[in-house]
Amino acid sequence: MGSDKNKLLDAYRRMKSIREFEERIHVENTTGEIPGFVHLYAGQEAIATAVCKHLKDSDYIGSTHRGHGHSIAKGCDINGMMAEIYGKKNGLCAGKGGSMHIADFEKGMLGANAIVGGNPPLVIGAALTAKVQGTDGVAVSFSGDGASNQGTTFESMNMAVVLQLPVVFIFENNGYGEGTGCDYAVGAESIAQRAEGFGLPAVQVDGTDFFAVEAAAKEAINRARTGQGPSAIEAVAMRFYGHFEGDPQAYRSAEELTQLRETGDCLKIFRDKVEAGKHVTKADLDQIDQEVKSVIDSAVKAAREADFPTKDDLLTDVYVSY
Amino acid sequence: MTQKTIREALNDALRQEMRRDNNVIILGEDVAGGHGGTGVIDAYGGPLGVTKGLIGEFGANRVIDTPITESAIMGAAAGAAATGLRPIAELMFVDFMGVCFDQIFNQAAKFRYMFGGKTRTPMVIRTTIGAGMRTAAQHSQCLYHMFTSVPGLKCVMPSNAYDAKGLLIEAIRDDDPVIFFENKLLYDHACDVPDESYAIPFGEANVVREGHDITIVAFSRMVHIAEEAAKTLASEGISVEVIDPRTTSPLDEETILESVEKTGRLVVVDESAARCGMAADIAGLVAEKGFSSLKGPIIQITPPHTPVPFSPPLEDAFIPSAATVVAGVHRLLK
Amino acid sequence: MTIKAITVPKWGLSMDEGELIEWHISPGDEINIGQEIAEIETSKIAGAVEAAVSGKVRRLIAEEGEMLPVGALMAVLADDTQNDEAIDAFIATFKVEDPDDPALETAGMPNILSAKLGDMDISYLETMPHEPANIPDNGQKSGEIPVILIHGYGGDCNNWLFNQGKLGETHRVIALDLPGHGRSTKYVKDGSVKGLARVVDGFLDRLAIEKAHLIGHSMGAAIALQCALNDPRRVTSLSLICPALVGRPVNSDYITNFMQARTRKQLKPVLQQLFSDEKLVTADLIDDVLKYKRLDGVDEALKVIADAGLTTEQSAFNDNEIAGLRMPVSIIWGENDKIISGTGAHILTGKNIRSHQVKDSGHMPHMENAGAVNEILMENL
Repeated sequence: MGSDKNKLLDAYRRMKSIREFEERIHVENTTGEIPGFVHLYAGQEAIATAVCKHLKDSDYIGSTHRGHGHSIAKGCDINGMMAEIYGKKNGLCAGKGGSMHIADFEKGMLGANAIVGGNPPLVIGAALTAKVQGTDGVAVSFSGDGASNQGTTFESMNMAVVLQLPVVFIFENNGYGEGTGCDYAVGAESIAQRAEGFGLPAVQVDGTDFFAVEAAAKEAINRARTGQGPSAIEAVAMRFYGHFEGDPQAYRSAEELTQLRETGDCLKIFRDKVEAGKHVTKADLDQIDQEVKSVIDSAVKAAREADFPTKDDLLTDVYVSY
Repeated sequence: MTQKTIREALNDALRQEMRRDNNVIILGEDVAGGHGGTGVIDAYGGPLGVTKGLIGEFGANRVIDTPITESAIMGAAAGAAATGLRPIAELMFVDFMGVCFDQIFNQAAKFRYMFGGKTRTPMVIRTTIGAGMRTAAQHSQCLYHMFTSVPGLKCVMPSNAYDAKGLLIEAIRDDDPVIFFENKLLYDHACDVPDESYAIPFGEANVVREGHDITIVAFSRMVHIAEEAAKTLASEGISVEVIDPRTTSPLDEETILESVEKTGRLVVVDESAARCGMAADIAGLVAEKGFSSLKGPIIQITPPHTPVPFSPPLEDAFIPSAATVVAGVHRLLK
Repeated sequence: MTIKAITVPKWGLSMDEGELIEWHISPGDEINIGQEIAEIETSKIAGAVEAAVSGKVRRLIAEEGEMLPVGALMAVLADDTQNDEAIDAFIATFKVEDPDDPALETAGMPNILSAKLGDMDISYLETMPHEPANIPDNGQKSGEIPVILIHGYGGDCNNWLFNQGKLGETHRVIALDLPGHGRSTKYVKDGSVKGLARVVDGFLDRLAIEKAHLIGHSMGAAIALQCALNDPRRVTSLSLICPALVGRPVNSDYITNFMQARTRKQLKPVLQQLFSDEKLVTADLIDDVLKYKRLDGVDEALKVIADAGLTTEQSAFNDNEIAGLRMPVSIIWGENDKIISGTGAHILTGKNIRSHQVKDSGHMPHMENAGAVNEILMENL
């Protein structure tokens, strides 16, 4: 039972880290110190955490412009991420990528990707590597409902089926592609149903329910790992914030947002479930809340104090050799 | 030494590199051909026969026939490259870049810089270029100028079989994304090619012909047009130096500038584009860095600013010819 | 006297044309065989054309500055018994022989062959003497012993392009490519002179050559010398052109720079050091060397050889060893050698040893002043 407890606490710590990270950026962004665009993952934490729980460092994920959650779930260093978001030289990408391009190949994080529909072709490439090299590696593509309409996504699903690649397509349906509702933009009945049409097993799950995502992901990832080909999962969970920070969200009603915090918060749902069980107490979780808060505090402090890249860095790392 | 065509030289390079390194794979449309049909596997061996026979030696796990799905091909190659393979993705015609450009210029080209120097993307995209086969506007372009302008990509365009083999081997061994442009009209062009493996470094121009009156810089098939013009001009007593940069990114600026310093006159022959193409690029380079040695205007010989036409007389008029090059030189010397 | 043609010679396999730079003769001159009559420049190198026939010059057909194919008619010789009409008719009906015509290969045309030595392929260029009657039986008939040409560091069998033809008039000549060079296997196990000499010994065994005249250049000369020391009975004569490790130090900067040169620009000044006249280093010569250096395995091979003591004093031959040799030994130095230079030219003594200093030559006298070197080489056979 001790290991069950630890697993639950780990999952909570990950989810809470993502939430705290995003909430803090939401605040810090108003200071003007964070350059450019940030897109927050708050509300969808259960999905990234439940999926990545089944992955090893040697497995790969591809992410989206809303990639902080995936990065933390896959094990990227929080200090490095924060420094990157602040555009600092000690950031995970040396300050050259920023929020939309956080990557850490050693952790199997192939990069946040600022092109909607950009990652599925790359992720099937990572799966191809595993297949050609004969490893049991798995690659997972995280896409939104918006990217689910892109041709690149369709092409990737088809090729993954044709070549029987060890890949899982996770479609995070958060209700909106930018400012347009998914009910409007996705022509099919559901993203899962459409994925099924490509010839791969696909299910739709409640993305606010960590345990539901965990079970679906386990099955799909196991299928990939054992050479049984690709799968798709549509996980539904609304985002708490706008498309980008500063988005006035005029396309959403005030009631939707209020209700979302009350009934659609994956962290609350998780807490309610585990606190009702035997292993985990409220105190355990509260303690994690405190620890996570201090981790994020120090990450922000360090990122603000870190140095920017120098002019010399402008010209480096365009090529390996030129 | 054995005479080999460009097609044979490229096949040589692919085969030798696949033997040398198990991580080298080929993927694309009909790189073998025949899967799911009622005939034979390796029915095509590449749309123009370059990959013929490779599936027999290396199997379908490394010579991968894909659906007609260019974005997935390019993206898969980039993703595979970033995770440990050395993929060679084949894109039947460069014109089809239109349906997969994102995966090349936003993804593969940007990884290393955008991710702070932590990645390597050792992929090669082999593609065909060039007008002259009566294949009209969507199967005849060169487009290498567009890729040359994207930092993070390397652009290679061999003009002969010796260079084709050495440059392709270099491309496969290179750790950056390389686009390898093969002119369709040159595939049967033959010259001495060693059987052994060898790599030609990028960024060193080939001085195809030495001369002292005029420098002609030409790319891919235009190198042969320039040589033909140079022969005609030689019979008139005009000595032409022909430079084949071989790679436009990286570009051997030094060889071009040194040649112009010697000759004082520059003609650029380029099939890629009349506007913002390689001719304009080289002209800009020399105008800025070699201005003091110029004795006359820089002449750019390119197709007109039109799509590639279909009808044979129109297409013939579209492609720069030796006669247009000779006329350009006469104009410069007048 | 019949009408005789002077044609453009073929220097080495790759030559198919040459530019006539200068005539040294005029109509009316009487010329002798071996006389230098013109200067021709190929894309590889410039050289003197030696007359292969003698007689009175009646016409100069080729013009200075003209690009001529191999075999093209350059001049016509005939005595005064032939009238102008006959000469005109001769010129009109003259046909350029296709140098690649297989029918010509039996008579003096080189054949590229290969010998297998364990896991190594040793490539060589073989010519048979013009007169079929002179073809030796396994090279064993007295006076019909084959000539083996051994090139230097980074060279190949084509370095002998101005010599093989001349020597080949009377002898079976074999120019080999050392391991790591030319068309031979690029993998070199033992790059020392001793190790490479073992390869040459094995090569001769493989070709069932019991006795041979050895001619070596630079490192190849050191190898030839080592072979002679290994088995003096096998070596009928020894000609050492600018020999490495014999009294004079090898310029180690040259070796390092040659190994490291990747581009035309880097290689050009290195190759220029080889010649007395730097202009001899043409773009094509540089390209040829670059093409060789780009081959997989060459970098490693050159390094293995360089590291095996090519430039170190410890591996130098002992003068007494050389003086003890009984076969005729000819040592040829370039007057202006920048690779192996010094004053050791005449220190070697012995009644069978002759030293020569060749004018207008750097480290490649057999290319730069082929006429003089060929004479010395022929003399020593």
